[in-house]
Amino acid sequence: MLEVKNLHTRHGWNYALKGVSFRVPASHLVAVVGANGAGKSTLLGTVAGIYSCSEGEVLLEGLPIQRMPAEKIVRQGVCLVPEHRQIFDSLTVEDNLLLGAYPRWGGNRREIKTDMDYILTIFPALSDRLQDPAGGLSGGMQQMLAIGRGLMSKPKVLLLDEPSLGLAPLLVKEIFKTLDDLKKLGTTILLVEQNARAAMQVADRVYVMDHGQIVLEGSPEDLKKDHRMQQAYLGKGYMRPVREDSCEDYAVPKVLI
Amino acid sequence: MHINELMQFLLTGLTLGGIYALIALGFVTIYTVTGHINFTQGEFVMLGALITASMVKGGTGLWAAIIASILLVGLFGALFERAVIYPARNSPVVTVIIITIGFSVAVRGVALLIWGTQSYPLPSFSSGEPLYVLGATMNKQSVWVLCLSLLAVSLLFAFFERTVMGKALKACAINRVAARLMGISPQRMSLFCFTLSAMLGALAGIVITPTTTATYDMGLMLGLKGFVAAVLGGLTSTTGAVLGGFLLGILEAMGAGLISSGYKDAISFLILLLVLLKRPEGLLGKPDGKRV
Repeated sequence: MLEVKNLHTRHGWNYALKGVSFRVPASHLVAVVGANGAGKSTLLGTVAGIYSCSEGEVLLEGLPIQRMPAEKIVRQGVCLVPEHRQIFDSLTVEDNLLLGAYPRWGGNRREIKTDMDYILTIFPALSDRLQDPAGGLSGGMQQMLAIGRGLMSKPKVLLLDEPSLGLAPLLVKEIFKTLDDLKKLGTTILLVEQNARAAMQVADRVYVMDHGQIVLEGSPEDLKKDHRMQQAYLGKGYMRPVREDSCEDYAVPKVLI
Repeated sequence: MHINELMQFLLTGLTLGGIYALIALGFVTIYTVTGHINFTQGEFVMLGALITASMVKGGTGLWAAIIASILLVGLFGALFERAVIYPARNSPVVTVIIITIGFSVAVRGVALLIWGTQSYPLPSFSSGEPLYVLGATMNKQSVWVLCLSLLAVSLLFAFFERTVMGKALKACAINRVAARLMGISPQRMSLFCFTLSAMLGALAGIVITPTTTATYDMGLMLGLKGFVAAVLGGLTSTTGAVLGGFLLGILEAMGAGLISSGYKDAISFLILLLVLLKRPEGLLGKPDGKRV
């Protein structure tokens, strides 16, 4: 469905992405995990057209989209739910959802209404607050709204940037449960997360990013067993005494290569 | 001081205020969506007035001339955005402001070449006896000014509140990146805003011409007054722009009546200074505390 090949993106003189390649098959949930500053958000921003890449390709069903502006990429069917949710806080919840359907406006209005009702069955908590300004919602509900707004465009691929950011553990669980449901309903999702443990519970395939490169990849089961993954991202091994012979294994988690 | 006189000043102020509100709305629409302050706004007013006056002089019916003129100025606004603002879209805000000032001077120059320095009259939209409101007189044209500006304002509000395009414009003003991610193109919105603002400006110029006549340089002062009204209202709020327009009109008329009509313009700019010094966020704007 979505294929990223040898993607390079620069912020000024620094390369934030240095040759990232991976594939997101249809109806799969692929997670990219990594520490702060690993280049995860840049990756999603580049795929969605917010940043322009200096090299490489992004193919959506074989169609190169890496040179299109963000507003055109949405129409092709790639929708990014950005970091920090970025909902339109002074508009109502309903307006936020309606604007999500903006790329296909002019089409069948009844269909848009039906889609909105459907999305409200996924996020029932939003139905009671439709006429409230979106800025007044709690963090968890804002995240649900942001995902719902993204789904309103009926994307072929939904890109999610750190949906767990700033949320209480219980809400994180709820959001990931929804992602799992969405995947089961056939939505193709590319998820970027710092919370590796949560991401691995729902993902079909996991890529680990560090310093702008993919350093590890595999199924969640395989990666859970990988000792580098355990030490760096799953919080195991920190408390063990450092042995002389495997010193590098216990170094700062960022040096994974 | 007789109550009738105060009432008279108030009515004059309301009429002026309607004009200022229309021009201020042009400033606010462009500023909230694109972040630019468009000092060519006054020239839209002038063009609307002069084109209508010329067409009526040439024998076109009044209402046909008004509609044609508004459409033509709208087209001019769109061309201005494409040819002048769009190429400079990545320049700093100050550069764009200076471009709009420069362009307005150029437009005024061309208008001088076409229309000369004489003033062009326009007949009142309807004839008849003036109305008497609580002892004050209000001529028919003032009624037209008030009604048409209120109608334009209501239509604009309905547009922002009820249509998807209006909401998309709002979304673009709230968060441009998120709006792009929803497929809303900021460039198309910018084009739309300039067209809309040009049409609002043209309407303001047309409705005021029967009272003041139209000249090539009328846009300068009216544009600045509209800007003062917009700043008074906080520059980001459409309600603020309308209130700012009416408040400025009333203060000006009161000042001119109670002190001296020579101070009319000075009063506006004194108000601008006071607002900028004491309450830069305007009457309805929120303080610009950026969240970190």
